[in-house]
Amino acid sequence: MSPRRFSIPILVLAMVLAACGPSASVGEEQRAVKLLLGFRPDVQFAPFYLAQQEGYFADAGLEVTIEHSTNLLPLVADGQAEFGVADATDVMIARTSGVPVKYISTLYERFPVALIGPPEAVPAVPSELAGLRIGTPGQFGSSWHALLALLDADGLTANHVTIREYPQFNQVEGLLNGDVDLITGFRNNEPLQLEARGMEVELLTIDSIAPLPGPGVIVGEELLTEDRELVSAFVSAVARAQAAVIEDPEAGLAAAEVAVPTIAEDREVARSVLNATVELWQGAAGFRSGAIDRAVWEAGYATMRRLGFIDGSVPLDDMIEEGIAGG
Amino acid sequence: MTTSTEPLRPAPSYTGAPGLAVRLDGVRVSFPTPDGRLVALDNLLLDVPAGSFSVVIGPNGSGKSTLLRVVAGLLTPEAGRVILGSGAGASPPRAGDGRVGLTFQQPRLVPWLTTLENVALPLSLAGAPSAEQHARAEAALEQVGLAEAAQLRPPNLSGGMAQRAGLARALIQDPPLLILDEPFSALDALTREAFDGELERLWLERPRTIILVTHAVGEAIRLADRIVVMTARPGTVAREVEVELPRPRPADLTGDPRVAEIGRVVRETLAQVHPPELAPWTDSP
Amino acid sequence: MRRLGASLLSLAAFLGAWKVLTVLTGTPDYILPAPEVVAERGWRAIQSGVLWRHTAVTLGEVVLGFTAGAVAAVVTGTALGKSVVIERVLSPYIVAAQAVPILALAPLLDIWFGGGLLARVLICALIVFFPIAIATMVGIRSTDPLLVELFRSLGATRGQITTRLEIPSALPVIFGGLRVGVTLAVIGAVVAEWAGASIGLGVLINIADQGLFDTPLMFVALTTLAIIGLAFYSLVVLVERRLIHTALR
Repeated sequence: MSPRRFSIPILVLAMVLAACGPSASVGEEQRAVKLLLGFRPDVQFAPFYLAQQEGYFADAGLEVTIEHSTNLLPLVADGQAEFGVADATDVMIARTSGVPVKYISTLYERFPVALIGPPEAVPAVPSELAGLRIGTPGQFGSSWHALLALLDADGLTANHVTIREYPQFNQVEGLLNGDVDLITGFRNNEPLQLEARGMEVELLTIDSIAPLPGPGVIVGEELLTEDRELVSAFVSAVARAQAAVIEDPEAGLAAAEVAVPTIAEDREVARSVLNATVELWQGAAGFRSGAIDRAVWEAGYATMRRLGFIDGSVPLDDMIEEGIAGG
Repeated sequence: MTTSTEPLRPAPSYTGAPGLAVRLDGVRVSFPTPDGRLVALDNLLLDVPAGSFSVVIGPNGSGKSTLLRVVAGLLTPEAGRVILGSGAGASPPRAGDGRVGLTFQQPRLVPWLTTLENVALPLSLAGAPSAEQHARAEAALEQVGLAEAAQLRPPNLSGGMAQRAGLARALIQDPPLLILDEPFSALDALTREAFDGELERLWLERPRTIILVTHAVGEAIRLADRIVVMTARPGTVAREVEVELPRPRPADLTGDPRVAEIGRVVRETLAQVHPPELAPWTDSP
Repeated sequence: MRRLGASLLSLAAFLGAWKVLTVLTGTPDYILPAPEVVAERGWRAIQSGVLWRHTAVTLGEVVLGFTAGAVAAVVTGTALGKSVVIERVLSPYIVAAQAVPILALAPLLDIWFGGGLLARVLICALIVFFPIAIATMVGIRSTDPLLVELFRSLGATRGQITTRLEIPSALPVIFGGLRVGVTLAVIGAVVAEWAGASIGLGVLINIADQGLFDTPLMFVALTTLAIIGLAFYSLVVLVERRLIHTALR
């Protein structure tokens, strides 16, 4: 038999083998994973929508489904979803309560929660908060942690102020009608709402007074141990998308509109929220691709322990996994 | 003068006069139905002498129950008058003023009250003190032979016992007029005979006017001074038949020729005025 | 005594099945805690006083809310039962109010009524109102007309007919409504707390779940609510037995 007779079958075989190998072609060998976000779809999740639409996840071998849940920490820990976005302080509390999750990538370098109010009411230092009326959603969550951390910085507690709870998250109403002097809120949300309604505001942020780590990506311990590569790939894709949105916010806005059509109804507001959000992703040193700032975590851990939210039985190293992000 | 929202004080226990006379003059009562008005009584004339025992007889639908309700003050005639009593105190009937004791075909006992409380109900609604209620109810139960059933509740009473309790309730205010709507028709024939005898005895011991409705000719003859035969709807009086037999009367009146004659007259009258109900089913061969 | 034994046996069986379920499925404590984990967490919560602090508040809301709602419901139900006109006028509003989910209305009510205990008692009373009012109406309507005629023949006033015949006659049906209502009162207190309270078992559920990620504590709060519901239900049944003499006695 002459070699030429085998050349075509061999060529076909080689092509088939090549196609079977790991590759980035669409629809083949993609690992399906679920990402849980809190609350409801919003323009601040633009990087995730962009990563889905522009193929950043696909390039990393992932097919990502996004869902929303208010129970995302236990669900991620139990493996019912692979990844989630959660507040760092919640991770500390959950981990201490025995929920096995780990924080692997920083999404927000600046803490998103601040105290907000009319310029004459916003103090420069926490000690001036004594005796004021403060509106906040409730006695849990990053807003509550931030508020207590601020008070604690100058030796105050919740007893030194009057707390008014807004379980429907409508504390701006309380500020507008004068029921409270200040409110807790998200730097990329409430101030924009208030300014749109004609109120000039100022902020008291915690980053320089009582540093706490901001929201980030979480993963279940089991998945982290079993498939570190997968976790790494996901984190890289997210960082890549964030960088893209920082460089071209309009692209992020467009991606968000595709995923959440209602955003188009108020494009201007969405644009300003996204711009404010992008600022919060970056610290003094700019965008660091999700690298975890251990110093902020240590300071935050000590503060949360002092405030009694955690008892120190679970060490910091069980809560964070450095080295995944920031590459 | 009491207002319509207050219960009336019961009439004082009467002594002396043996009961109220009753007079119905041109009474007409009709009811609205989906098919138009149904006239139950029309141009009814009846005089019941004070202290007499009158029995009203007729098949169902002849307006007997309507007649009783008019006399008891539960219905107001749309034409004609009803007067209880005679002379200065005569007036139309008024439910609950204590002049009329009423029993129904069903015992109508309140299921969550004891027999004693049921019998005392008229006094209780009138606001009598409870000691008085208790004493008079016990006495009324004695009268009808139910003293031992005082603490029982209606579901635990036999039919006869329940009927007697209803009678005791009707008698507790010692009314000068007692109206009985087929009081024993739900009982077996033997019990019925016995109760008829007891009723006559109570009346002889304590005379008052009694109007009793029945559809049993034998019972009517045994009890009545006068039998009032009702026509078919619209009801009026077809005939009044006097019954002049000595009292007390035995349960078994067969063999007495006067009884047979009275029975014949009553039955003839009934057949005349109620042909559809009382006619033979087929023509005799 | 035998009834108590049967109850204890069924409770043991329930706990046993629960334990077996957690072992078989291998669910972690932060998803479905085993009964002994909940018990231990509950004991700690009792010792620290946390559980009583929240329970006392919710108990107060249940008692006041149920009482207010039940009284309003019996009065309204009686009026509805006695007057066809009133029923025709009022019932569209009552039914519509019932159809709107109270979970959506509660935050509004909380704001309108000042966000304190009054608002929560009101929300709880609203939830309790409907089944008791309807039961009362049905009960009143089913009064034996033969007895009504008896009372009229005895000269009873309209008020006497209502209080001495219609309401006692309707008691068995009304108590059916009260049984339902008292368990709804527990739900009502929790819903009311979710609308804007800062203390109570409903709040504790939220704090345990959303703030502390302490699922065993959440189960402790849920168990306490169940016990409260059971206790009040049994109380209603006890009162019912004392008040209602039936032919079965």
